[in-house]
Amino acid sequence: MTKKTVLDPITFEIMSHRIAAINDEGASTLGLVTGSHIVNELHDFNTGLLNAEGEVVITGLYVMQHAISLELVVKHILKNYKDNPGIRDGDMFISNDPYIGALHQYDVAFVAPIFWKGKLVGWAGCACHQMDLGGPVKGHINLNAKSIYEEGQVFPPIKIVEKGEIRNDIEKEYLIRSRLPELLGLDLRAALACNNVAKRRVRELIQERGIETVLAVFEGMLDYAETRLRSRLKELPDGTWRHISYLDFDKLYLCKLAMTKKEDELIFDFRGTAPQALAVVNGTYPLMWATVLQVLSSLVCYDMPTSTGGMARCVKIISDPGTVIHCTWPAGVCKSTTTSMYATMNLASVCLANLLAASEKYRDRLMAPWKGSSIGDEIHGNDQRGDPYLTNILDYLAGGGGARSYKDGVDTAGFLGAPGISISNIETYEMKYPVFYLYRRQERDTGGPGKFRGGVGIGTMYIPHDVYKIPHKVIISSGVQQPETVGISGGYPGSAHVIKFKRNTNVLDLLKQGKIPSSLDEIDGKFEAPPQFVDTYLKKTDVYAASGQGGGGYRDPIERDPVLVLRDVTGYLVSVESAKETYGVVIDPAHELVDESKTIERRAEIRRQRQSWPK
Amino acid sequence: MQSLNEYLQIADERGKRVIRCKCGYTLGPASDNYKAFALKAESPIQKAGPNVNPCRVGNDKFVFREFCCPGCSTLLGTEIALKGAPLLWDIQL
Repeated sequence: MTKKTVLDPITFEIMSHRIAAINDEGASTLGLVTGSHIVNELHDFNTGLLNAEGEVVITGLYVMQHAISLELVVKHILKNYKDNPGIRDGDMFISNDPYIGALHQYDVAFVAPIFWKGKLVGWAGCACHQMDLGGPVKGHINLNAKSIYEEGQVFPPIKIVEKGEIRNDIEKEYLIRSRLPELLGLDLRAALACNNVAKRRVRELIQERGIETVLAVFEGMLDYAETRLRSRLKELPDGTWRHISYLDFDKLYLCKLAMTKKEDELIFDFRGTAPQALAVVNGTYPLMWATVLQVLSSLVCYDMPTSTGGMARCVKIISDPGTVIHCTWPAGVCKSTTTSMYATMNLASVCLANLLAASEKYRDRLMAPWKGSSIGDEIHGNDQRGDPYLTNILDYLAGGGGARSYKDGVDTAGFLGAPGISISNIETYEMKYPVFYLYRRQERDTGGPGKFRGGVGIGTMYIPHDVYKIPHKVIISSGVQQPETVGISGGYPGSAHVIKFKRNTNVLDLLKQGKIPSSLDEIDGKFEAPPQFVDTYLKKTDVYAASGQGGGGYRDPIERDPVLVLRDVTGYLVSVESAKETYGVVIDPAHELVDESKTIERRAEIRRQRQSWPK
Repeated sequence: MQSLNEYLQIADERGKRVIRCKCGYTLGPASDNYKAFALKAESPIQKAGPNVNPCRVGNDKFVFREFCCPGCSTLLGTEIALKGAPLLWDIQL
C-alpha cells in the first residue's frame, strides 16, 4: 500500500487553481486555432482534466456538459481499449457516440491520456460542436429519421493520434463524409492542439512539483467537491420534490422526475418518463447524467470548484432505459441538445430550486429555472456566389436566466450551466451566410413575472439576402405549445417559443423606403405559424421572426416593487398591458410614471379575484 | 418549524403536522399536497403571458393553474398542465 501524500492547505489551494488554469489554457488554445465561430465566438465547447480513472477533476466554464461527459468517454476507453488498440503515451482518441459519452453526434469528444514515466496519470479532453459530419441530410436535423441510422453517422472512440502522430487514414476517414471538411479539419487540429497544450502543462507541473503532489491535488480536488457537497446536502432538509415537463415533437412526451434528498445524497428518479421517440429528440443516458451534474453544479455547488467527478459520488440516478431522456439503440438523438437535454435540465432545475426554497439558510441562493429549451434553426443552400453554406442560427441560446430569490434573472443570459456561452455576432452570420437581420433584441414579455422577474429571452427577425431563396430552413423547437420554464413559489413561467413567418411580403419595398420594420405587424404579407418542427424555405420576400424563452419568475408578481415594473416598461422588457394584468401596476406611459392609486386599486382587485377562485 | 418555501411552513397544530401559510392560515395536513387546500384557478395557457402560444399551435392542450392562500390571497404556486391532468404534488417534506 502506497503512502498517501498529504498536502498543506495553501499548496492545495494554489495547485488546484493551477490545474484550473491549465484547463483554461487548453480552452483558449482551442478558440485560437479553430476557424469556427461556433467555438471562438459562441463558445459551444468545453475542456476538462480527468484523473487516471476518468473522473473529471475540473471542467472549463463554457458548456459544462461537454466536459462532464468526457468522464464516460474515458471510462469506456479504459474498460474496452486497454489491450486493443491499447492506451499509450502520445495517443489521442476521438468519438461522437452519444451512447458512450458525446452529447449528440455533433458534439465531438477528444481525449488524450497523460503519462509520466510510463504510467497513466490523467487525461486531457475537450468536446466541441460541429456543423456537419456527413449523413443523409445537411447539418444536424433529419426530421424524417426513423432511427439513428438515418441521422449523422456515429463513431465510437477511435485512436486518431498514435505516439504523437496524427493518423492520416483516420483523419481522412473523419473528414470525408462532411460537407464542410475544411471547417471540420480545422476544428480537429484545434482540438488536438488544445489537448496537447493541456498535457504539456500538466507534465510541466509534475516536473516542477513532483508526481505525488500533482496526483494528490487531483484526488484532493475530487474529495473536496464531494465533501463540500455532502456537507451542504446535510444542511438541506430531507424530502421529495417532483416536476413534470412535456417535450413536444411528433407528439407530446411526458418527462418526470421525483428527486429525493436524504442526508448527504441525492436520488434523481426519472421513472415514468414516456417511451422514446424513433429519432431526433431522444437523449441518451450520458446526456442525462451530464445534465443532472451540470444543473447540480450550477444551482447547489455554485461556490465550489467544478470537480464534477467528486460531485457525482453524491448522486444516484434511476431511470427506465427506452425512454425519451434515456433512450436505447437505435433511437435517434440528432437534436437531443435542444430538446431532451432541456427536459432533463428543467426537471432537475425545478426540483433543486424547490429544495433550496425549503432551506432558511440557502433560500437566498436559489434560482428559478432558466429558459426551458432552444429553437433549432438550420439553414442551408448555395449563396450568391454559388458556394454551399450550412449553419445553425444559434441565437436562441441566449435565453433568460431564472429569477433569483433576491434579484431578477439575467436577461438574455444563455442557458444554465454554460457560464461562458455566448452568441455569434449578427455580422458574422451576415458575412458568412445569405441572411440580413431586421433586428436581434431582448424580447419584451418573455421573462416570467414574479416579485423577482425571470430574465427575458431573445427575439430575432431576418430575411434572405442576395439570394433568390434559402431553400432549406429546418426548425425544431420543443416549447411552442407551452412554456417549459416554470416559476417558483408563486412566480409565473417564462414565455414559450414563438415562431412566425410572413410570406410574399413588401419587406424589400419598406427597406428601399428606408424603413426597418421592428415587428411582423408592420409588414404586409401572408402570416404563417408553423408547428414545433418544420422543414421549410425562406424566399426573397419572406420574413422569419421568432422569440426564445425567458427565465421563470420567483414569488407572487403583485409583490413586485412598482418602480421595478416601471423600469421594465420603459426599458422595453415588460409591456404596459402585462404590467397591469399580471403585476397589477398601472403605468402612465406618456409620463413614464406609476399611477399609485390605480395600482393599489388594481392589486386589490387581483386579490379579490383570487378570493373568488374555488378550492 | 420546517419551511416548504418562502410562504409555506410545516407547523405543529394540536399534535398534528399541518401546512400553514406565513399569514397564519392553515391549509391542511402536511401529509397532503398543499394545492388541494388552496384556492385554484385554471385558465387557458395564454394567461401565463402574451408570448405563451399566442398563435394557438396544438389546439390548446395545456392549461395554466394558479394556487393562492385563502387567508391572504398570496399566490403560492403556479403550474402548467395538460387539461384534466391531476395536480402535481411538487413538494413533499
